[in-house]
Amino acid sequence: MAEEINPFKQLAETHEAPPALKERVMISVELSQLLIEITDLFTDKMGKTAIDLFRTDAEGTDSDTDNPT
Amino acid sequence: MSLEETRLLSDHEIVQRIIAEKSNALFGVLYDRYANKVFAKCMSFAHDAQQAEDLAHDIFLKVYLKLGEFRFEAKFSTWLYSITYHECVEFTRKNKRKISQQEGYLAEQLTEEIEGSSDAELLELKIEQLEKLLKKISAEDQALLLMKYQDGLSVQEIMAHTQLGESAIKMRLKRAKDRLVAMSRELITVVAVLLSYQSLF
Repeated sequence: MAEEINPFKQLAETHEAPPALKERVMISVELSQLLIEITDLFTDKMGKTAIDLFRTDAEGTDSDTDNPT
Repeated sequence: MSLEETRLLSDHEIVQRIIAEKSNALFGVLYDRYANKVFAKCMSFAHDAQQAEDLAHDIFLKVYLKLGEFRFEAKFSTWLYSITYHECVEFTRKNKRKISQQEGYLAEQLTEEIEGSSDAELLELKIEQLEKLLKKISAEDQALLLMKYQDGLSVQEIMAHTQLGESAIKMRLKRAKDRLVAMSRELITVVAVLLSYQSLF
C-alpha cells in the first residue's frame, strides 16, 4: 500500500530557515545573557556587597573585607 | 564535551546543561534541531519570508528566556511548538490579518452547503493550494489544523496547547477543515469555468 502523502507535512518541509536567522538569534541570546548578568550584578550582588562593607567583626566578615570595629 | 558529543544528547539533557552552565553554544544545538520546523510554521502565518524570519527570531529568543520555566514533564518539542503557535497567533492578531468580508461570507456559505468533508479530501490538496487557503482562515483555526495534520497531535494534546475544551476543538477542527475543502472546491470550479471560456475564443 502506497504511503499517503500529507500536504501539511510536505508544507513543513518546503521552507528552510535562512542561515542568517541563526546568527541573529545567537547574537540576541548573547545580549540577553549579558543584560541578565548586568541586572543580576546591580540588583543582587551589589546589595550583598554593600551589606558586607558595613558588617562588623561581631557579625563575621570575609577575610577579604577587613572591617575593624 | 565536544559539540559533536553534545549533538547526541537528548533535548532534556541539553536544556538542563544550558540552565546549569549558562551555555549559549548549547542553545545553538537546540536551534539547529528545530529551526526549520519553527520557520516553516512561521511561514504559514506570516505574509512573507522576512516577516517569518522576524517571528522565528522572536520565538527562539522567548524560548531561551523561558528555559528556566520548562518543567521536563513533557517533551521539549511540545513546549516549543506551544510557544510557537501562541506567538504566531498573537502575531497574526497584532498584524490584523484580515479575511475579507467577502471571503468570510463565501466560506460560511460554502460550509453550510456541503455535508461534511473527509480527511482524505483535505489531504488531497496540493501544497501551493493549501498554503494559500490556510491564510484565508483565522489564525486560531489555522493553528488547530497544523497541530492536528502537521504535528499529528491528538485532541487531548491540542487541549494542552490551547484554552479550548475537547468538544470546542473538535467542532472548530471540523469547521476549519470543511471551510478549506469548500474553498478548494470553489477554486476548482472557478478555474474550470475560466478554462471553458478560454476554449471558446
